[in-house]
Amino acid sequence: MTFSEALREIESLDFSVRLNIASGLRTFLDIANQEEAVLVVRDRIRSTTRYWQLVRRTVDLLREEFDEQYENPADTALAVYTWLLNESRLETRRAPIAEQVTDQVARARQCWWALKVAEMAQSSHPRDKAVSTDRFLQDALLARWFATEAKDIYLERYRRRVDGLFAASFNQMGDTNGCPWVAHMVPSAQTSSGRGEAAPDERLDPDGSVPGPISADTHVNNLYLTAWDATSGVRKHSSTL
Amino acid sequence: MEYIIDPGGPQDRQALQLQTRKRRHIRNETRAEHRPEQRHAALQLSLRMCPGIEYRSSSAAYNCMGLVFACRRTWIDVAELDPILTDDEYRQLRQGECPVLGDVVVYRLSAEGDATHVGIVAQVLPLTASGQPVVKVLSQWGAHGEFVHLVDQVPDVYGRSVEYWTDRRNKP
Repeated sequence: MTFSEALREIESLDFSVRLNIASGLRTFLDIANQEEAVLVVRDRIRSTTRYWQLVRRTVDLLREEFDEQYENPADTALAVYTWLLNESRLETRRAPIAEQVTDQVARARQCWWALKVAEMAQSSHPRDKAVSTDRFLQDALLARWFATEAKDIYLERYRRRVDGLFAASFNQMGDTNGCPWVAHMVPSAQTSSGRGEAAPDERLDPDGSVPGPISADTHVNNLYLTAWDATSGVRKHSSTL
Repeated sequence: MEYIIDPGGPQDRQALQLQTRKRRHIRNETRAEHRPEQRHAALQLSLRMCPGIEYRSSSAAYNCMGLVFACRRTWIDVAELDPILTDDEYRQLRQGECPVLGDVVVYRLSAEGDATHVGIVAQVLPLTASGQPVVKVLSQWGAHGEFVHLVDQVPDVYGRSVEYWTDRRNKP
């Protein structure tokens, strides 16, 4: 099987159907691992040329139009490509491009396995731990979060998530996890002071949502972070991003 | 466009508010439906892999876990199974103990391996000469659809190690 044939196979309906018998990500990847086309692509992308072909093909798939009332027909292929690209990131020079592609896949619409693989890839990388979801507000992670070097990392990783962020989610997540910290992230333009120093109750609607829409164009520079002790209300850290 | 922090978690507004008996949130997400041609191909593949199974319904919006533990409303990763069985006080049937209608079947690749698939006991036929009951199961195969099938009549990727679990409590 040639490289091109393997790609065609991975993007085929039959391939997608075979992998979609899985009920969980682990089984999905187990099935993928038994597919000849996957083994061929994994082998061939040791070549830099082939690796870049796979990157380009992944990006092309992300741009393809589809009927959004259904799942993205490229979901399975995107999942497998993202997985393979990230496996290959162990070669240092490939890591940045694997991360960029993974970030784009994580934003893909109407995808299922592709998002799960992208999430797995992002959370498996050490620098992503600062933004891991349910571990997000643990003290140690917050400390990293506010460290200078971690902040930049956080921002870079955060960009893909900013549009749908609900400040209340962070608040409640801290409470429900028994974490003493509460953290909010809101656009500074939406606070009364404009300096990112508003009190917590100024930032939230009664139902706990962020006041006003956060557009897809929101830049990380418009955000700031504040963390304070949930019990005493004493502000511990503040950081304009 | 929204990106959800912790998709399927307790703060995900698109997730169902689904809890175990001990009020632990069960992570869940609703998946988009597949195109008609994909649904058709999935049905054909399932019937080819396991001839004799009975087709019931087709939807990608839920998986086997969603069928058993969430009334077909959502997708729950199989990795959530063990906490649910624990919190809901299921017990595993002992060797030789006969399952009954409504018990849960758990498939694993190996006896000690992770769960890959679950279903509900739909029918228990009289004991065979070997002393083993013939068990029919209702289960959803990934995004393919729901089938009624013999307990060992599943795709190889689910494994051959089968356990029965029950929440039956009070005998009459």
